[in-house]
Amino acid sequence: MLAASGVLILLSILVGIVGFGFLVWGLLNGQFDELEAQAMVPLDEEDLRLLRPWETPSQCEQRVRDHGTLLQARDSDWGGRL
Amino acid sequence: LTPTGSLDPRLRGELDRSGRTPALLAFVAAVLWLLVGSFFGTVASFKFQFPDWWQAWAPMSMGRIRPVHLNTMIYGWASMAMLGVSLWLVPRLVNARLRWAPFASLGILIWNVGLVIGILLIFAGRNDGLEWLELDRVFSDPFLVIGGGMVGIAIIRTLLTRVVKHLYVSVWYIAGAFVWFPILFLTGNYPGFAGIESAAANWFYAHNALGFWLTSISLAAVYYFIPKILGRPIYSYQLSLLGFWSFAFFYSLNGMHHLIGGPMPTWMVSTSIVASVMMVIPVTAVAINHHMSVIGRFGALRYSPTLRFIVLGAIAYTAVSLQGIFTALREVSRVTHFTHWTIGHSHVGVYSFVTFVLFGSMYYILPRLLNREWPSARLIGWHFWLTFGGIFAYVVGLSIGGVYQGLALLDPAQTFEASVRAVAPWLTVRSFSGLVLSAGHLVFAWHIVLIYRSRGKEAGMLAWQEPRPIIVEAPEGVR
Repeated sequence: MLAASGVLILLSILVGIVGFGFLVWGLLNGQFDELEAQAMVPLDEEDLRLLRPWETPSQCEQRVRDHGTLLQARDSDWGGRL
Repeated sequence: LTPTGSLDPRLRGELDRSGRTPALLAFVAAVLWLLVGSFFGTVASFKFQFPDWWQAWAPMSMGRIRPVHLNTMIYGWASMAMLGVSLWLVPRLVNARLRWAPFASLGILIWNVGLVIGILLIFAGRNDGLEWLELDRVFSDPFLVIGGGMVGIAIIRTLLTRVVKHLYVSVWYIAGAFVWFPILFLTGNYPGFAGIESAAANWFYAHNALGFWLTSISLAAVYYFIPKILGRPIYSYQLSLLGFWSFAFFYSLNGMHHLIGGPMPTWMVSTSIVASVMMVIPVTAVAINHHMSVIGRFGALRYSPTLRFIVLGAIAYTAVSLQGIFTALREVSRVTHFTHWTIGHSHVGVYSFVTFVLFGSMYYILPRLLNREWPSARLIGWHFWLTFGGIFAYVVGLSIGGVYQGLALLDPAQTFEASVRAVAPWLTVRSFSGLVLSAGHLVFAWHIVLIYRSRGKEAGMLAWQEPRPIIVEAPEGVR
């Protein structure tokens, strides 16, 4: 039974080792430092300043306080128009 | 970079342009395959109502068009669209131009040549006889390995020349996918397996292709677009990393739960069930993170097509994962195994989750690649409601029908025919749902033709790089 399952054991180990290798590399290279800053990576300054029609007045006010003047959005900012 | 550390919009445009050709090529191929796959999926479904339809013509028999549907959807639609998303997303996230873009374009063409050959061979009656691995391993698969490898090399090369130190969680998922998938595809297609080994390797591949390929890149897109549209970071970046690493370590053993009840070593199936249950950790981490990121801003779904598709896709990810965990339990599997429940379950994964995320991503990316706005809000609405309604009816129908079918199969007092009768009405629901889904795909494809043909700025500054009017002034003393 074990011999017949050998291939699966080896494959699982191989896939696991790849993940483990990534993890070790990440730890050694400081990939898990400054997580708050990393979370902002997808956002440009302009993204933070777009007027979002769905936001409540208080959310909008908060955005102005945090990021300054708000800018007019275009359809493409939301991936089109509904 | 701007004084605040954000990327200059002009440079962002440069990065987008660097992957324009291969990404567009991938998206066009994806949509063509989506239409082909929809047609054969719908025909295959209607064969349950009309078994003799086209049966005399061998290429259109059930045994051939069913794998044609599966392979066009997985390696044509989903894989092509995911390559397009990756080629566009990675340069943006690592602030580096896409390296070797022509090489990536050639890779996409080679992949498609291999897929066309493989599909034609399936029509001709030649396939490898393993689920998700039907494409011919001699005449078709090498093209996919070389083509996919070329795209992967371009992406890895771009990562190596990045100008940012940290890799955002989306990049982890994409980088992981491009390393895991070649290992899976090569080992899945290795011809030396026989008997139990073959079944084990088959499901090792098929389930991991769903996880480490389709799920990985789809989650990468979700983690990018939710913050992007909402204009706020993901709820907990720590939780997103926990989700990724627990996914990376627990997922690979899940596949054997497809073989519950088969002549497999018990320990192997039990290990797989345990690993499947362990998936609660990454799934919960991802679900909490996505939900908490959107909470308080669900109104955005009324405005943003991208967010509407992506949020529903993210909800479907949670649903399909929890459904998968329960289905992996022996007592549940006893009823659902060998029934149409499984087909419904796989469509929650590949359609409600992966396809919806890819639709949402393409709505955001294509206007930027073509420098044009989507021409019609009405067509986006039609696309959404047809696909949402279609897949909802499809999944509900097959899930209910599958349980009735399974219970009838388990009842020794009932004949096999009774199990067929129990599921038959639900298969009709499935066929009509397939028609509705196909109509949605036609609307989407037509809209892409319209955006392509519409007049836009071909050169110079992209529309979204032009200065925007300020509409709300900051109060005194604020920034």
